[in-house]
Amino acid sequence: MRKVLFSAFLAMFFGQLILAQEINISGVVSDTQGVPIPGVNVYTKSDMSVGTITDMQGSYEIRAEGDAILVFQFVGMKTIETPVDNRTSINVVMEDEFVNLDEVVAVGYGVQRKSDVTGSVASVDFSKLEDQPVSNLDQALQGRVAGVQIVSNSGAPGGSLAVRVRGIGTINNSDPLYVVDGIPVPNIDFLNANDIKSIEVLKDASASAIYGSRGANGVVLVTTKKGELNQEARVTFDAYYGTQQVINNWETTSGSQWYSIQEQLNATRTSPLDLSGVDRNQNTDWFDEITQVAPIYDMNLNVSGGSEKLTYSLSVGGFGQEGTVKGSEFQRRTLKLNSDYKVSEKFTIGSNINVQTSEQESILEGSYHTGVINTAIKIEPLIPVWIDEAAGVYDYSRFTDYPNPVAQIEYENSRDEKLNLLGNIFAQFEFVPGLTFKTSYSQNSYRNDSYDFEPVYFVNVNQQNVENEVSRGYNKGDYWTWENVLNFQNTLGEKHSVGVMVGYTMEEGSYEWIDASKKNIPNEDEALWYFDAAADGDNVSGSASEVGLVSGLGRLNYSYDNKYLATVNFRADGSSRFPDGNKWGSFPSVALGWKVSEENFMNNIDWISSLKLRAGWGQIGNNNIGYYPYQTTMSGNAQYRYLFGPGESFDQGYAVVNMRDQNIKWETVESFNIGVDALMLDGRLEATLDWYQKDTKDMLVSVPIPIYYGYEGGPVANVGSVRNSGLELSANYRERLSKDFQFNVGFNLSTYTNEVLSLGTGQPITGGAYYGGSATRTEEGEPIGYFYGYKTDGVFQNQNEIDNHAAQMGSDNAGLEPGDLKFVDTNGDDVINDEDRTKIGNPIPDFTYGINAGLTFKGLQFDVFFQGSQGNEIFNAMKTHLYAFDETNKHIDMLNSWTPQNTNTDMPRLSGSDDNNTNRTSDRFVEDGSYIRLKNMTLGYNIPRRFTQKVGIDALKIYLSGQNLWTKTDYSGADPEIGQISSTNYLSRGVDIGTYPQAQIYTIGVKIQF
Amino acid sequence: MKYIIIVMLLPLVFSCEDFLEKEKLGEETFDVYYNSEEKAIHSVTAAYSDVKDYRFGWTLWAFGETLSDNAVYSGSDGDNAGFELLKNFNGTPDMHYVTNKWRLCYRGINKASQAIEGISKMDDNLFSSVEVKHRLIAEARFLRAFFHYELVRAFGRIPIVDHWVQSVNEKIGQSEIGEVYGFIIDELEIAAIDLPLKSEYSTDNLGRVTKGTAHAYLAKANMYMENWGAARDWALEVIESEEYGLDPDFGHVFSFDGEHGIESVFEISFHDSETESSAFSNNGNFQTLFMLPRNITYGYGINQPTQDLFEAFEAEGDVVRRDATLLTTEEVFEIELADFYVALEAAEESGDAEAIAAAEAALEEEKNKLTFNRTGFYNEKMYVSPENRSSQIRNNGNNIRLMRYAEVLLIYAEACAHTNAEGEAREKLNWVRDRAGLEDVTASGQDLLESIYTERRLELAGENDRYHDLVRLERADKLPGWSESRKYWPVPQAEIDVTTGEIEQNEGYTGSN
Repeated sequence: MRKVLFSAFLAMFFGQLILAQEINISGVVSDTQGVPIPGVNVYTKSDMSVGTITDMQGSYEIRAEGDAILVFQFVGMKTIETPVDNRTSINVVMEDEFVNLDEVVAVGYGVQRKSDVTGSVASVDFSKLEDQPVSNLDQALQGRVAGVQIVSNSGAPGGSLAVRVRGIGTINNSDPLYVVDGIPVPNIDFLNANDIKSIEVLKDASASAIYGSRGANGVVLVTTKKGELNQEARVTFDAYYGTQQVINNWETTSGSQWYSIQEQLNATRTSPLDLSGVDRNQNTDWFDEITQVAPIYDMNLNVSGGSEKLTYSLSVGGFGQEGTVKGSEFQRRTLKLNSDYKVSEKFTIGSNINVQTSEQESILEGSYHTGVINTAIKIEPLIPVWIDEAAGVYDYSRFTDYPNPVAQIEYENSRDEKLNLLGNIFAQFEFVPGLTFKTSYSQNSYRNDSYDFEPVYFVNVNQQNVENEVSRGYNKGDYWTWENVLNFQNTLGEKHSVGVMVGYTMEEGSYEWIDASKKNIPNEDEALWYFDAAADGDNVSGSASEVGLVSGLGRLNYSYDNKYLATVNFRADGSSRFPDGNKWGSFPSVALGWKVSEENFMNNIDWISSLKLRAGWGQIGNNNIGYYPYQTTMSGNAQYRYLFGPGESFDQGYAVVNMRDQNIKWETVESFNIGVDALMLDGRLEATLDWYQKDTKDMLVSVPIPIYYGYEGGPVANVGSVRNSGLELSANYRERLSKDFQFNVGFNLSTYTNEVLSLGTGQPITGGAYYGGSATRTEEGEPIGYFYGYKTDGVFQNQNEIDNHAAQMGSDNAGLEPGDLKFVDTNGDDVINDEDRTKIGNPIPDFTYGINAGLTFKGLQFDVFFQGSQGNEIFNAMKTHLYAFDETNKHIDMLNSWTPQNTNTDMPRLSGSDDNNTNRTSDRFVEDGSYIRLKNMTLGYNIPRRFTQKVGIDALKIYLSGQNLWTKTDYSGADPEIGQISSTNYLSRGVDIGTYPQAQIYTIGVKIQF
Repeated sequence: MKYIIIVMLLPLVFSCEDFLEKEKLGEETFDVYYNSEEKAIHSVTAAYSDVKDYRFGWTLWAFGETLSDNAVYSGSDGDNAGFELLKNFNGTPDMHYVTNKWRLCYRGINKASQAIEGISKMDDNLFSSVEVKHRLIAEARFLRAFFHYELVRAFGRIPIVDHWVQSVNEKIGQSEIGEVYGFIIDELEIAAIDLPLKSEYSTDNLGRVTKGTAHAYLAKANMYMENWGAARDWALEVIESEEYGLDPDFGHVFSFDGEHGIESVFEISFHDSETESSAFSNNGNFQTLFMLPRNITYGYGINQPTQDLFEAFEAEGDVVRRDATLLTTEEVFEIELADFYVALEAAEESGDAEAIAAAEAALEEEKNKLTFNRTGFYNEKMYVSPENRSSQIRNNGNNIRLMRYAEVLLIYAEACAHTNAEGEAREKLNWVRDRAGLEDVTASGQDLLESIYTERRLELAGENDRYHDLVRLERADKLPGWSESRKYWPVPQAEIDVTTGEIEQNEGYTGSN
């Protein structure tokens, strides 16, 4: 065995040494209309350096061995490989390359021909996306796949995204399952986009049921690049460098504008602000002060190839991004090795190793009191950043207790280091053609280390730290997976084609975290930011958890006459997360397909090349509900102590204080999908249409329990349900107008309807906490996390309007004046109170879409990609500060406040006392969050091979790319891309508490292949 | 080939269910917790802990004293007005006072049931002796009965929860008052068997419930049910145990030195901790903070005794207990402003008129700090003098007496008076009167009973029993606004809302209110 491997490596490094007789070969390359094609690359498969290019008449001449294989390659045409067979004249007809029907797609524990797929599976060829300047792979997918909504929670380097496949399935964790080369992983942040070959998204239950209790939120299958057998070593170097500029559309007041608003407010304040100590002409743009133009870069080197027996792909990459907000930074290094070795005709072994390390520095986000961006928006403009910059003395807000955000960034030293290892080895044995067994063992491990040091500082009483503190966190996870899959593929007779897969898998994970901190380091030198240097204040906490999963799974594919298709998936999962009796769950699915175009009656319809109808049903689960949801644990809170004996000593009591539901099980999703795949106009137009309805049953909801049970908290139980439905349409059209000019245009569109059908006996759930209250509510009959508050109806123009309005000041309207905001009596009881709060918006869009277009002219390539969201609303929580009658920064809208002279406005009069509670949660702060954005525009040039070849380069492309270049939106905040406040704050979608905005990114890149 | 087959069969070797049993790490589950005597003790401790919760303590006096003719709520105008509805017997089901009482008692019941269930399942060998095991179960059983007793006195009909509820499908309706007392009596009888005498506990265990505690509450529960024979017998058990006696100095009973003293049958233990300040998790007596005079100390001046109570002492010529129960305004000044009096005295001795005037003015100014003094009296039984007062406002170390030997004697006397043993009744009544420096009672019949009732009021004033007595004796109609249908508090609305029909609102609160 070792000898075999050794010779395999030799072969890999020295290529094929056996030479045959060389001969001269010539011919003409033309298209299907007989038009000759100039510029076609012609080379021998064994040695790409032996090659030429067709001339203006499509002719070529090449010298190669008589047993060589010639390769004809041209962008937009199907590559042709022809054995020379000692011929001296070889003419070739090249066909347009449209959709390859026999392309295979990953479907989980196997692959399927795209034409045979019956479920809803979206496939993304990643080669076009890898040049996008993104830190997270999910970002590159944004807008590319119908039914997959991806929204950034933060524009910070390494910031998180919320990926939602077919809507929001649950009020709990609705992240999809990620599977990289067959290995389930918690996320794909650690992957380098350059290493990705393709991504498939299993959208409906008939496709994702094979992942059983983890498939409910969709499955994202990532396939990484591999080498190919009999391929010369190919070296690819990619790099780009760019700059990023923050997007900021906030319109806040200048110093003098703020001053004049405050002067007016003082007139009605019971205790007026003392404005004497500030300079009205001072004008600090705090947002500007915390942001910067920041660099971004990426470098990647890949070597791949293969001999007769061995394939390999090795890559190393480095990515770095500084944040557009100072103090944030992300760097990642990746290392990857993929190799397969054919031990014998029947036996293949292989491995896949990924190593990633990253470092991240971050600023405080997600806090509506002191988040850095939040503060920078709301702190008053007429305070200078510094009192004395040279001496390092910061100035501070005179009127609020909010911190100076520039100082915040300086005193923040939070840093994370991550190591992620993903390794897999497998062996595959083919008993007879069509019957294979594969066993595969994988390990995914992560180690996250966090470091923090808070120095002693004093800005003012509200922003100071009197004792320095060093903190350290450690968080590790190890997860192994062992899969054993038997695959059988055969054709019985002429018309029956059968595929069977059965498998058995085991998975086990263990996790642990430790957080520690200590105080009082006598000298704040960075070299002393470790525990041994700190004097006191020890504080440590930590815990661990484990999880196990055993599954049996199977799939049956059957096709009759290549017209009628059926797929049945089944998985039984046994999970440690659930109590005895509920440990095992089974998840079936069935899907049917009908290739209508194969029927005789379709023979005459020329413009349809292929038409397939699909329908599928399945049940899948969501087990993302914690590791021990049913186990009752003993708590030892200080509250449960009691004193015995004469001394002052107490005994610590322990009790179960939170009720657990002993019958807890996974959330079940039942989904139904129908779809059409069509290929028209000789394959130039490809379209897919899907309609789905997805019901989450048994959703876990916190259940209110009788007080007499005697618990402090009720259990979560499987009592809720949610329905998502939608329509997904995607289409792509490609055309080659001439040999030099071709273009493609495509779009995808997804609609969303989300409704909570039941919360069991549960009360409506509030969420989206911001400074002034809660912005969202989840209740039966409404979408998850809709905006809830008062409706307003402009301002009172005169006393008569006030007198005739429902009582909004308690029992009457005595305190109101013209110019005050009018709240709507939605329930018509003539009193405006809590009962009048109602639905004021919905963060879930009506539809999202992506539009892409590209054209190629000779070596030039131009691509644009638009992405948008329509009909979603944003709760602009920052405006509750900017519109408030307080000392914080003000929105320029406040300059247009109602006065007896300025009555044509919706902005209420400036009221320092504000008895009307004007800025309570209301539709004033709900804005249309629709947008369309030029997400990416790339101009590339492939330098002709005839030039590059002279310096030994097979392909050379340089490109300019711009990200987020243009956005059309009515949203008045920094940026309309508002996800959740944090990745686990599921009911805060669309609430803007000072979200880290996206950046405009300009990059220049190069791709070289040797 | 054969290796392949072996590999394919390998998973079967591993496919055991054990793989799917993952122990909870970092925290103990109920099932693994009960594995040592020490941990069994801790689980009973948790059941005790709700007794010291300030929200539980609040309801003791708010219900027992403030609703009665013994006290007014007082405190700031806002405080006083906040209690007004309850004081007028117009309490509403959504008042947090009402919910707290219900909630805290059931939390205690839950913890006690867990302890009973958990400890019962333990192997006897895990204990230093089987008696300890049985004692711990008996302590928890007593506490569960005690919380039911607190509930039935406040709410009347309540659900009896006699086990650890673990399924959300369980529904327990309210039982009639008689049934609840029946349950309490049964449980106390069982608990009493395994509880040790007070003297049998080591000093480390001071404060745990004893056989005497169970017997005393048996006597009291039977008193409420007017089972006079049983009340008499259980009270006699306490008396004959010779574990208890009357402290010759009535005032001493309520001093720090008197804690867990000869007269103590059950009390809530508190201590003064410099480090604990949280309202919910401290071990200090929050009730003292409520009752200390307002603004002249850090107290809130709440639960002020009434003139009516003062007059009751006067009518009986009861000086000893009056002085130990009622702290007058003048006494407050003398204690709290001792330094100013000393300064005044010094000034007077010097004879310097200006100095005297200044000292008088200073004293007057300090006196004026005492505000919202609605009755002129403060509850001295809960008063902590400045030298013993905790610097942490919620952490005074004085205990709350829940059951004293004197009350056992009075229950016994009342039971005897009802069971043709008037001689016995007078004897025990007079023990209590003697200690208070009062003459012996010689009355009989209804007069004897009246004497006992009066004695109860005077002996137990400030100890949260008066309202319950007024209701029991059908004399609560003397309270303004009182009505029979509202002698109990309403069932918390939160409970009505969350249950599905098994819990009904108390009569008297179901109407248009």
